Amino acid sequence: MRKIWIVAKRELMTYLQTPMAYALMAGFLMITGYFFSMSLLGSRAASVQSMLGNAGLILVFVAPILTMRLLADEDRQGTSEILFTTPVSVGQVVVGKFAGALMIMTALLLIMLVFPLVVDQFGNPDWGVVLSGYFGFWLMMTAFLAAGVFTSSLTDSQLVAGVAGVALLLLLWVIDWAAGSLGAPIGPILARLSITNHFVEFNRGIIDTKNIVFYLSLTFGFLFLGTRIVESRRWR
Amino acid sequence: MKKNLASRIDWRSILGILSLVALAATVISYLIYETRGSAMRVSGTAAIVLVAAYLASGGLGQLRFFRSRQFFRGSASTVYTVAVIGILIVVNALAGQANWRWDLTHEGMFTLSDQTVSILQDLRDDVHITAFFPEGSGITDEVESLLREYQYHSSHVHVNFVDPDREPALARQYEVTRPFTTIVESGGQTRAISGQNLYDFSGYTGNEPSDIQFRGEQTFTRTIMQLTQNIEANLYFITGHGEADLYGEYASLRTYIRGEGYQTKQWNPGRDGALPDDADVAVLAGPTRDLHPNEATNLRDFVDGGGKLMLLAGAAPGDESRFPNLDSLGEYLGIRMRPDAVADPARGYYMDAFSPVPRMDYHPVTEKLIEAELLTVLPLSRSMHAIEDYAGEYQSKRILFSSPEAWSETNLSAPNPANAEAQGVLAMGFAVTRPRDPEEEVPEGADPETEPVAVLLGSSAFLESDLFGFQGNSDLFVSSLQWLIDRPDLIAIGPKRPIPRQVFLSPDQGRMIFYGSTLGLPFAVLLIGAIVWLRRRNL
Repeated sequence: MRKIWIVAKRELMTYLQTPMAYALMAGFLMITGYFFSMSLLGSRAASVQSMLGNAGLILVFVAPILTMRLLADEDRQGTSEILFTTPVSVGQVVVGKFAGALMIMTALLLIMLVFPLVVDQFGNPDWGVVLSGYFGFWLMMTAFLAAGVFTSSLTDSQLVAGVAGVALLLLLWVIDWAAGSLGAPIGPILARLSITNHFVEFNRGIIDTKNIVFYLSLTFGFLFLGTRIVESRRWR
Repeated sequence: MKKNLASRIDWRSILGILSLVALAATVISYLIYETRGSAMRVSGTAAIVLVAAYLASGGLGQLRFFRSRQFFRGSASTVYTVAVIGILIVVNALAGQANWRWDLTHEGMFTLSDQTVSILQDLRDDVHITAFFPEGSGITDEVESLLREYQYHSSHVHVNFVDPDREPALARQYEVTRPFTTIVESGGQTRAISGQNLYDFSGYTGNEPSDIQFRGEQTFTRTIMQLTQNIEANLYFITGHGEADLYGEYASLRTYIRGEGYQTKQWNPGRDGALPDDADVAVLAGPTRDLHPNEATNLRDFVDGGGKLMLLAGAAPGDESRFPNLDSLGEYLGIRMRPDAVADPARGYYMDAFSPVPRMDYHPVTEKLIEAELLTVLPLSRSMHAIEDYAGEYQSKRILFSSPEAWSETNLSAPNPANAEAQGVLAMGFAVTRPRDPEEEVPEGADPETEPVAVLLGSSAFLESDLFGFQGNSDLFVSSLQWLIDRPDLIAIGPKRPIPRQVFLSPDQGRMIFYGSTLGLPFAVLLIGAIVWLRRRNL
């Protein structure tokens, strides 16, 4: 655990010392802020549900951009050899890098709590729904970041890793569109794989273990695959 | 010998093979039974235990096949990956069966009542719910969340949402012509629930309904209960005297009350004879020709035998009644209907004196409308009054009446209050009861002293499609039915009442929020980034 924390802290410092992370966070906040204000001023509803729902789509692009360099860059710079010969396992490196990205995005989500606080000043939001929505968004975010880490492990090109991450997440975003047309048994499986379907309930104020398990499985699965791929490079 | 055989058996390999078999069985049963089924539960649990035991025992490294250096790394890694993915699928499948859900909404919007949960847990037959709702609508989300709860509480409930725009053929197959219609099927029976059956509202703000309440749970639970327990009321609409058609002028009425759980049939007594035994309520709405004396006798016998009657007359202005047999039926119940139309300029709908908006006496039929401040309009209504020297067994209570400025008009083309037979407050509706048999079991919530018999209203025009949706018109009809069948409601699940959550912003506050959230917040993050970057550059 301590080794994971050391890797995570290193990644976090790298993020905080580069302008890209700030630019990415500012861009994300600008778009979600626009969604928030438009929803609030348009519907006058004391809620952030609409903003969170739309912000998920922006996350599809932001998460892979944030994570695309994590493993791909190590390969490109040739530092992976050094990293993987230290007394830290591949799994610890992958999880540590993921944790670094997750800390940045968690900080971003905490900043986004300003939105419901603003709503609270002028109305009476249902805080149960707000907290459930933010919790679901955080879980979805962890899955997105893990997917980004996975695509970053596939290549030594940051660009390819980023594009592959966006493509993968977009696929998971729209995968249930075909569910209605394909019918059973493929349709229900595709609907269950949809990354958005599982968020909808959180955003309505429902915490369901099924949805929590889904996002945690996705996170674990992508990190596991990323680890296997990196490990495979050592013996191939 | 035994020892030799035991040593030859590769227990770990067997464990590994059993793990893969259990994983495969789980995935197959998951595909077949979707998220439920004891087969999947058993095989899933077995798969997790076996894979864990296999990995703990040294797993892949111990298999002779994988001892080969050529195959070991690649093949073992692949098998390991497949096993982990399999476990993740199994864990998700098992999690899909667990019903651990927490409704964090303040009003418990997605929590089913104990009554619904009990009905769902007692289900023995499958219930298929096909909801024809357009994607992306707020109503769709609300209904979908609710029906998911139904699925969670019973494996017999199967829900399918269909966008009627995307699958028009399926909508045609179910004869669905309007969006937001839900088809509930069980045991070969089908019920259609319209979107109107899912919401209540109290009054209007401008032209928009206000204080909208979602009563989807009440509607769905009642429908499931009726389909699976065969408890429903049959309404027989009497025809043959110029009454409006259930499939024409009363189409909206028919859709709505079927969605409320009533079965509707048309019955022509001249052709079909006396009402059948399964008739709970006979509805005689707006006849333009009189009943035959035998038909009036049959209806009297029906009421005497415990049947319920809704008599909705229509204006019959003239010096003499054109409906002697119909009127005799009313008089049998203690009500005399005048051959007139009520003119009430003080409470005329859109200044039309012949479309009075009646006041209401407090009664089970009207209490919901009074409490919700809903109005009804009764165009071309006959006035009526209780017969003073009535000696029959029935008792009547006025439920609708006009303003004191009203009069009984017999000439619609030249209205003149001076010629009126009656002026002042005129009754337009009565509820008729009889003393309840002391031996009879009193239904829960019903009056223990009297039993409902009939509702008489002066107008039937309010049931026609163009007026049926007006404020409380549909409620007046359904409340009358509920009272008549002596069950205040089949189930008493109150509608969810979400707390209105609105923000109130001045234009300046709106601008402040817009600029603050779209520019202020991102700028603050950029500023922090710039400070960090500059400090690092100067190090």
